[in-house]
Amino acid sequence: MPLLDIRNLSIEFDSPHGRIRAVDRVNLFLNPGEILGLVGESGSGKSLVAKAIMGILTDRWTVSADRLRYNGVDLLALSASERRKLMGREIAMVFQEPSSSLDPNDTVGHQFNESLPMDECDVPFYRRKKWRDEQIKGLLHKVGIRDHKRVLKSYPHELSEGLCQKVLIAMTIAYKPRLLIADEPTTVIEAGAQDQIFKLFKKLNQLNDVSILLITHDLEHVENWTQTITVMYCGQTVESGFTKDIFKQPFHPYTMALLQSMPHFDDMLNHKSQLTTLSGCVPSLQHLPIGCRLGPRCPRAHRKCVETPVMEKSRGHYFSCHFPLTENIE
Amino acid sequence: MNTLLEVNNLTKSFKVGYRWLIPQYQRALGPVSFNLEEQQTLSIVGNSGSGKTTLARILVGAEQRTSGEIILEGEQLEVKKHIQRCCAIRMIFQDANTSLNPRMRIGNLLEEPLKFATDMPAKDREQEVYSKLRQVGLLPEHAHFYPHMISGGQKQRIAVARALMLNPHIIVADEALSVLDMSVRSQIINLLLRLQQEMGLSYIFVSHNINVVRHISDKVMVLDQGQVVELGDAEQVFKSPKHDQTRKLLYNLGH
Repeated sequence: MPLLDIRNLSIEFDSPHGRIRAVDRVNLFLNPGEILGLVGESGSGKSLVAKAIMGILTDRWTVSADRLRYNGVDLLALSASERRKLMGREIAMVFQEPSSSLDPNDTVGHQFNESLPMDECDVPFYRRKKWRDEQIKGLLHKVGIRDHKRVLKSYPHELSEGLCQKVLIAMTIAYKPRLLIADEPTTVIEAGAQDQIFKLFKKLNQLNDVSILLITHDLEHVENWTQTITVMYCGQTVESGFTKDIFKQPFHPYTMALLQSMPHFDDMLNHKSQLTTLSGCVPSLQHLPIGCRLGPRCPRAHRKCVETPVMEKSRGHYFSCHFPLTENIE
Repeated sequence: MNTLLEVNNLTKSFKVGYRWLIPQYQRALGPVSFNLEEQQTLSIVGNSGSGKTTLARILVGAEQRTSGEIILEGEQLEVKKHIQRCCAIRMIFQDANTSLNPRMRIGNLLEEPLKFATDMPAKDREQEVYSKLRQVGLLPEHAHFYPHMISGGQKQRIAVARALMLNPHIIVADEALSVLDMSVRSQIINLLLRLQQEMGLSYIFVSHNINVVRHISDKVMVLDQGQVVELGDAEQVFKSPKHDQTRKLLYNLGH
């Protein structure tokens, strides 16, 4: 049974121009012990999907889905208080911009104390301080922070973004969640520290058996760290499947364009030659095209593309396109 | 090819406080020496805190150097000669969203460098703005828009257009690509490469994306804690890295 099973998730909101569907029938499957990469450019609705899973979208948004199941439990049927119990304990989330998710007025140590699971503590009250300190020390060592004393005494602005991110990850794994949602964990982090964060996720996944939903805007990042990928464009799922398969042979023109747009180190690309790229830019939410939303930018668009394509499957590789790139091979 | 920019023993120290009322300094950069030729691209790579942004800021005059000399087309570049500097060296900033004034129209934004550094009449300035907009792949009508009305990729194009306004010889791009989306990033790379061909520009490119650096640069400089640890032809540096720092950067890529 998949840990996370989402079928046809739509997220809508009312605007002065009528109801706008920001996320249009997205499918996601995450098996236990897997790392899933959710890739899409800014404005493609990947953060919205993550927030819908956590249940932290505001009342402005309407969430509807054929199936939104976590571990067999239908999340949309749960009451607010039941959902609150899952939040943070079973499903944890690491947000964008780590330093802004920490309270700037308080030391890191104090904030860490607040986030410890005190209901798991079974020592008498006079030994609790020591228990807490040891828990915190253990968690910080687990995420690779060695000088825990300095980190705990300092305020968030005194730490680098990479360190803040590690502290936040340590806080989230204090409750030993089964699913960790990481929303753009490395965008504001220096290049050297990015790898450390990804290695940390990999380690958590292997040692603690945490399933991870890794949201990122860069296809390059997820190549080495994930087993499966789902690519989104403008709120629609474009392609999903095993990372290896997608990098070897993408079926959707959008994925193909993304893979071709970056110069790769081993490629025999001519020095300073022009790169292949999609023309235009991501449309705004008020001006979404009908049917396949890639339509106006797609090099292979036909008249049929004004109808939304249905998800098709070929050897564990899902894609939604009327004219997939498979035809070339066969 | 003739040398466009020559930098000799450039250093920068920051004041870190006092000890017995004597100011204390910490060396953040240097000594750095390098040459840049016409229509060449020099990339500066290194970890955070290695001084690459400081070097870029000194070259465009946003920061003052402590010692050393910069020779531009055979002429000494003085610290105080702003007009000479800003006509020759322009900068593209990291985040176009925050580097454009939200209360000015794009036409006025682009006109500003012409107003400050030249005495061109208004009519010519307008024409110049239109031609530069066309050069970066936008329409003259965009001059009437405000920055919030266009997309992120178009904003970065405006930032490039603003850098081109005074027909500079050198453009310094400080992490100008890292905040852009994937498909827009390759559009901007294409734009920069095309402009280099057409106008004979030289670029000084600060980045940590080795794949992009390898594709667009002729020379690479690797900085580590303010020191130049490797400087040479891009192909050579990446094929046979000599210093540990360079190897580490390549290793991070998984190669």
